[in-house]
Amino acid sequence: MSDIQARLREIARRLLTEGHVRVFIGFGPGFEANRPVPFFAADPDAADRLLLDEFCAAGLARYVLEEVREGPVGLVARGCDGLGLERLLADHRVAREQLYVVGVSCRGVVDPDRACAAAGEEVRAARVNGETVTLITPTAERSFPRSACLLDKCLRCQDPTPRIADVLLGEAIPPGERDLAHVDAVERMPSDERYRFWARQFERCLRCLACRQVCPACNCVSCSLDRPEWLERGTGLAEQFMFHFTRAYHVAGRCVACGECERACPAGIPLGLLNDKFMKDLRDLFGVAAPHRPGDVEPLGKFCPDDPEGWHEGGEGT
Amino acid sequence: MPRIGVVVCWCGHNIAGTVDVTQVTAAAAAMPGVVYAEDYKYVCSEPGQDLIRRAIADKRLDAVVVAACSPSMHEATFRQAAAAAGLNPYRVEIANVREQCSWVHRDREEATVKAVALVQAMVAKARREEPLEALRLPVTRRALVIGGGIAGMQAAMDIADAGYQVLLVEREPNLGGRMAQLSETFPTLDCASCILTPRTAEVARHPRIELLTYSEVREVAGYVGDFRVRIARKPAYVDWDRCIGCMLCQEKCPRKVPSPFERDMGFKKAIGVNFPQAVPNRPVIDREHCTYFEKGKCQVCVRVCPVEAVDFEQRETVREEAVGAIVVATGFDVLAPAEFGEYGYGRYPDVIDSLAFERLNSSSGPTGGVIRRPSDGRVPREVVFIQCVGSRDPDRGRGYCSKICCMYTAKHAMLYRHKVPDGQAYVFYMDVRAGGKGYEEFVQRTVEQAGALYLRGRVARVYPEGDRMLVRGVDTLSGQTVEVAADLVVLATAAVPRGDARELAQLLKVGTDAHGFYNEAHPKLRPVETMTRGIFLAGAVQAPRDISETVAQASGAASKVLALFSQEELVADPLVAVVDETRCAGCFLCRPVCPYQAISTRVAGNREVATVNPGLCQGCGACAVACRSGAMALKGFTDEQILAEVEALCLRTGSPG
Ligand SMILES: Cc1cc2nc3c(=O)[nH]c(=O)nc-3n(C[C@H](O)[C@H](O)[C@H](O)COP(=O)(O)OP(=O)(O)OC[C@H]3O[C@@H](n4cnc5c(N)ncnc54)[C@H](O)[C@@H]3O)c2cc1C
Ligand code: SF4
Ligand code: SF4
Ligand code: SF4
Ligand code: SF4
Repeated sequence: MSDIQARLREIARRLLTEGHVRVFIGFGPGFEANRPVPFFAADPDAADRLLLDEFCAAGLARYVLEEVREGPVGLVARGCDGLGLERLLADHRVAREQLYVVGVSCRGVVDPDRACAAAGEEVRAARVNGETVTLITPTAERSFPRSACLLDKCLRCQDPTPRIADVLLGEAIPPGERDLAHVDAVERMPSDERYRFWARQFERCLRCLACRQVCPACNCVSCSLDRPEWLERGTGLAEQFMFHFTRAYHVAGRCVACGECERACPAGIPLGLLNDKFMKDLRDLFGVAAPHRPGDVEPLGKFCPDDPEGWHEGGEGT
Repeated sequence: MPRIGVVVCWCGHNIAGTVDVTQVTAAAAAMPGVVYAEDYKYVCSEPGQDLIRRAIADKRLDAVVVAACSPSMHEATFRQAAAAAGLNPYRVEIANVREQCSWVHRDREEATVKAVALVQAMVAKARREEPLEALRLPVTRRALVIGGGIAGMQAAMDIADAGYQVLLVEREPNLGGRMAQLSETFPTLDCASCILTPRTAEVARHPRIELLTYSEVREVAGYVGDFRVRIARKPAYVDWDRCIGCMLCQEKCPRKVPSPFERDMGFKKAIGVNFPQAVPNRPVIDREHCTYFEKGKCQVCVRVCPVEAVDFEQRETVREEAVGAIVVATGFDVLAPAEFGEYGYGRYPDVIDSLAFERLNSSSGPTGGVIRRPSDGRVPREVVFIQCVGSRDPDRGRGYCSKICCMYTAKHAMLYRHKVPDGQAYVFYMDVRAGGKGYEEFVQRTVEQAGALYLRGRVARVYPEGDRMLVRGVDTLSGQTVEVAADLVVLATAAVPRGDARELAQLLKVGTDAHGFYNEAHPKLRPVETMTRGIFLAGAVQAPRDISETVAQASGAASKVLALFSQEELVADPLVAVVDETRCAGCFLCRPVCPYQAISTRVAGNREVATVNPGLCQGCGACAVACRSGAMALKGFTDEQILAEVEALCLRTGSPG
């Protein structure tokens, strides 16, 4: 990664020096070595503090929405960031010419909590190599299976390389199929059990709205979830269901499976599972890609005159 | 809080038989904001409407809820009554306690509880109502008629005779449509051109009809009263203004090609008209078959033309026109019977379709009106007609009856006998449908006087034997296999929509049925209207039909256009979508869901937001649902109103009275 990191710094510096972008969004050091944080380089020297390693977790696409108002933005994008950007572009929230995208392929992000638990001590560095992940601690260097080390969202990732990049650093990795197998388990539950399952999840919700704030598909200027006629502030189960259904429906058919909502949720609610259930249904019912590719026809967002369900009075096939 | 009045209708026994209207009225009287509640036997009657008018005046009502039948039944009636009493008509709400309640319940108590709930919901909605003003749209008093067949000509004449301008757009170089190909017409046997030719001449001469032949509609924008259409005229490669119609070019053109007008049984030239009586009498060059266009030399036409009208450099021209109403009269096609291999069409020259038989019968046709079979020009002694080829055949996707084939086949059998007195006609049929004035009598004459032999059953196979065709089928009446050796086989092929019917329908935003025939707004009550206001249907574009029905419908469509043109301004419901620009994100997720393309972009400050054209919007509400921000609202059905209704239903304290 360090070679790529060096090239990234170099590109960011050049973009900032030449005034192509006003700010370059990437990652910088956090309080701990294994928890880097989003970093906004606004001058050429700051570009040297950019960092890119296996612990860079946050999705960066959503930051663009704010930043772009002040001028063009550069950023580093993994596959999931790229999809998020595509979402914003398709929703006309940003214009392509306002972005400079430095693409990198991503083999998965290491979850520091998971990794430390697996290694039994502080993990300082990591290498993701195919099916295993090498964790480097002050005392040892050992390999573990991916599932013991990576973020959940990365375990199901289908797009390691962004589809839109002005420049791609390193090799492209071809896209794969999204693994939706974890949906089966919920689908198989009898309905009352399934209800209890979701009730257990939703009742933990703090209504902090982190899931909405990070979501590239939740990019509205004014959110109906902020309006009291749609959603009361209480956290009773009815409001929780209302909140979660509304959120899920508002991204249904538009969610790009970046997994940010689930990663950001402090309560550990499996939002990705709900999104994946919608995604699977949409794929099976409408034959669309899972996840939706922004720019493709939105299965739930188009009037089509030859809809098999009919439109006019009289219904059926007319 | 607004002062609300509630009127509960008995609808005679219809509602009062199942719902306890007295209890509903009492419950309504106790609802917040309700200052007046009354029930009445028939609220839609004159005394019923008067009750509403008086209540509005006496009780100073701000809104009225009528608990009655479906809004599609009497909403307009009650709105008018309210307006007469000085109340904004859009402050009338209907609680549908008939179709949604009394008609679907048996239990009186349950039905009463539900009726109270429905009234409660509408009272809650009425509380959040705003007065709305009807939209007023200007009318361009000029009509566009698409298609110059008998339907389009009739509609154009009727509108023009009433004093309005008409643009008549026909794709072919000449008027007439299918009818121009027919010989005689059932049930009177008058010759098609004898009735058609005077009509085409009249249309061409009419001072208020502008005829645009060899032209197509490319784009349709706007809405009722103010449509903008782009019309393209294909290059004829002849300057029609110079041309004097002498047809020397056609005479001298060395290039002869099969004529589609003659169903490929005759020939035409690469330059010329489809048939001698064509109106306008102006030639076009068939670019695909012209030697000059193919090889770069020839130009015989250029040399013989006395007025230098031939112009190989002519290009397509496009013009934009404003019209207030559109009549679609693009007609029908006949099925290419190639897909019916068992009948040997396309393989054997003596298997032809009925349209070709019309040409054989026509005195201006390829045989001068003598019935000769295509293979060797012999006059056929035995002719087999097969009905329902492709029609009434759900297995092959067309379950419908083409309606005209029974009649024209009877006509063919009769005309054949007139011309070949010792000939024998056989007709394979499923059953004979002759509903129409004088139709059954016509078929009887074909059987009794023309001696046509009707055989009930489907034909399984047609194959050649010697110089004849063997037709094998089963007579379902006797159960026996029948075999007829015929000199000529005529297939009555299904009437189908034109190949480009769906594309044009999309331009016009008019719905089509499963086959591609255009949908009327209501099969019984609005048969010439479409779901798009200001666009009307005439003729076979809607469904297969014969000439007399076509003409009747065309006059019907014309009268609708005239009714529209007789208004000073068009009044439209204000129940349309509006954008709250402060909330709109400019994501335009709303745009693709709008079936009427009513949503476009507007710059507000430094960003783009959605905006709705109220003339185009039909108030379907699809956009309001698609907008996640809640920036799109449907007037008269705002989120606040709908949520108030839902809340009233959910929080309802329950028992009536
Ligand atoms: C074999 C046969 C025999 C028949 N015999 C009889 C009979 O004896 N008696 C009887 O009453 N009926 C008969 N009919 C039925 C008769 O032909 C129809 O009722 C009549 O032609 C319908 O008229 P129309 O104007 O609706 O359609 P059409 O005649 O099809 O005319 C439509 C016109 O629109 C034009 N057009 C199409 N698309 C476009 C476009 N996109 N833009 C511009 N112009 C366009 C076409 O070129 C055409 O000129 C017969 C039909 C057939 C097939
Ligand atoms: S819903 Fe979650 S996974 Fe989907 S786009 Fe939004 S943040 Fe990403
Ligand atoms: S991030 Fe988690 S806790 Fe916060 S609102 Fe979303 S689901 Fe609830
Ligand atoms: S969907 Fe809503 S937010 Fe998006 S453009 Fe339409 S009105 Fe605006
Ligand atoms: S209400 Fe229907 S017709 Fe009107 S703008 Fe919205 S989607 Fe279009």
